[in-house]
Amino acid sequence: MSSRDQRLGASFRDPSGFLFSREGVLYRQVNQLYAEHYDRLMSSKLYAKLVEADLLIPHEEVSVEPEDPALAYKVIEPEPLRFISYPYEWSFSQLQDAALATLAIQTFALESGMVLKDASAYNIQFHHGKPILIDTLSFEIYREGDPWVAYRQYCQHFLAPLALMAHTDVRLSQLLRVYIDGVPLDLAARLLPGRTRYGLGLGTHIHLHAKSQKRYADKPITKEQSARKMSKLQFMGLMDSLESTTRKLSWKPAGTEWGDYYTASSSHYSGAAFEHKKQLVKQFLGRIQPTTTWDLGANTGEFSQLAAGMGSNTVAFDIDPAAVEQNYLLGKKKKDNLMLPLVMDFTNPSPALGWQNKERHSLLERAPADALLALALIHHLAISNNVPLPLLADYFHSLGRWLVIEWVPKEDSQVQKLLASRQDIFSGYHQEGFEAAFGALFEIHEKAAVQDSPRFLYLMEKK
Amino acid sequence: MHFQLITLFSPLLRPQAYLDPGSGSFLIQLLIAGIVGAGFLIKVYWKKVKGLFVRSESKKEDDNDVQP
Repeated sequence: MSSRDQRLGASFRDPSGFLFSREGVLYRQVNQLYAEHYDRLMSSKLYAKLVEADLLIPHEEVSVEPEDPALAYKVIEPEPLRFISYPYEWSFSQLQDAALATLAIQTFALESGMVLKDASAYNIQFHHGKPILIDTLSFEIYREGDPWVAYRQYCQHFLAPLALMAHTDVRLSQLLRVYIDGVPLDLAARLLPGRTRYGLGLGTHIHLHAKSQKRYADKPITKEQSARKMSKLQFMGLMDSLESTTRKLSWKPAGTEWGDYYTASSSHYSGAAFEHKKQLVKQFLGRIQPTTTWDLGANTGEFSQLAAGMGSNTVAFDIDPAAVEQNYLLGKKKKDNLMLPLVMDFTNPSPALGWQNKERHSLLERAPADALLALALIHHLAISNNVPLPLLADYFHSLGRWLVIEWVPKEDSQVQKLLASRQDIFSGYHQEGFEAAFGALFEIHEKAAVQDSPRFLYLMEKK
Repeated sequence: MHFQLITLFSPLLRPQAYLDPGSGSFLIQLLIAGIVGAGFLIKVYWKKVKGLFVRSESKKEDDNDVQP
């Protein structure tokens, strides 16, 4: 193992194999232990069918030296992903589509005499706009009579958070950030409204399931119990029940407290100002032609679409799950495969999580992007969250190379709103201070006033 | 060999099954699958019966399409 080799921090639980990177290329070692299952996946055409259906990451078998030769059967090189995102960064429909993709994969697998041996939401990634399984070693040969070993995991990773988002509060998706192996079912059962007990779907898969877990928490199951069998028909019935329970859940941004804000997202701009701002952003992006763009505070993605429209792989972050939901549903409808909308609070971005804090990457670890868009954002961070301008410049400096940033001055109506109920302690919040703070770390290439507005747009490059 | 013998008896213990299915989850799953399995069978047959009618209707439409 050379110093450039690295076994990935999230890849240690499953003895079937593991991920490693060598000279910047990601590989997956398939272990001897898993050989029979891997061969079945490939020879049964299940692999080909899933890849054809955009449900499994394509890979190639390669003849590179295994990372752990004593255990190795093969080494495969999966198609690289553009960006890794996590379930606590997804909107409702993203998590639901990931859940339904998992069950669709299971149906394909059963047709080929295989089954999923895990159902982790972290095994799904959005690739070219669609949820796709990235763990090639998630399958095992189905043995008639066996129940689904990943039933608990599916309920904790998908069904419980979706039910909570749909029936209690959409912000409860953030429980996935606390509980790395999915939402504990007893907690979900307590937080869900009482009426969900009586439905056949959530009543059984969450409420009864939670009770059964509690009842058998300290009791070992008997030999007779562990030898119980489940017919294939029952297995398929269980999958069908999970599918319809998952599909029935719904959440609509309209009618929430965010309400119609997004139908009039640019109401504080005049039509002319908004169009001019769009024109300027397009012009700046056209000049830098970024391969990857992160839109920080993207709202429903109006400006992110400009970047994606130019062929840039775009991640559109917003704090509001309603805005992210709208952006995702629109992109799905338009088959926009370059856009990935995600929920992110930049006052508290995703941290590194899991065992040794190495299983899930922080947002910073997933940087840098080629270009950042920070439009109508600075006042939220500098005034609502009291972040001094030099610290903001420093953070953006660590996230990307190019920066398209909008300066929103104190006299702007949106800033006035933020200051209406508090003391103005922001004596350093002025355009000179902004240029000084950012000029220390960035070279300012362009500066343009937005017509019919007190705002300015800047194009900067990391020094 | 030892592992193989065990796997013959219990679906809970298999070398490649690295997840703990959880005893409570394991048992409730069997119970739920028992209930929904029967319903699933009815659903599949119902779809088949419905499929027969839908197909014959669409066939009629196709036939109409080719008529002058």
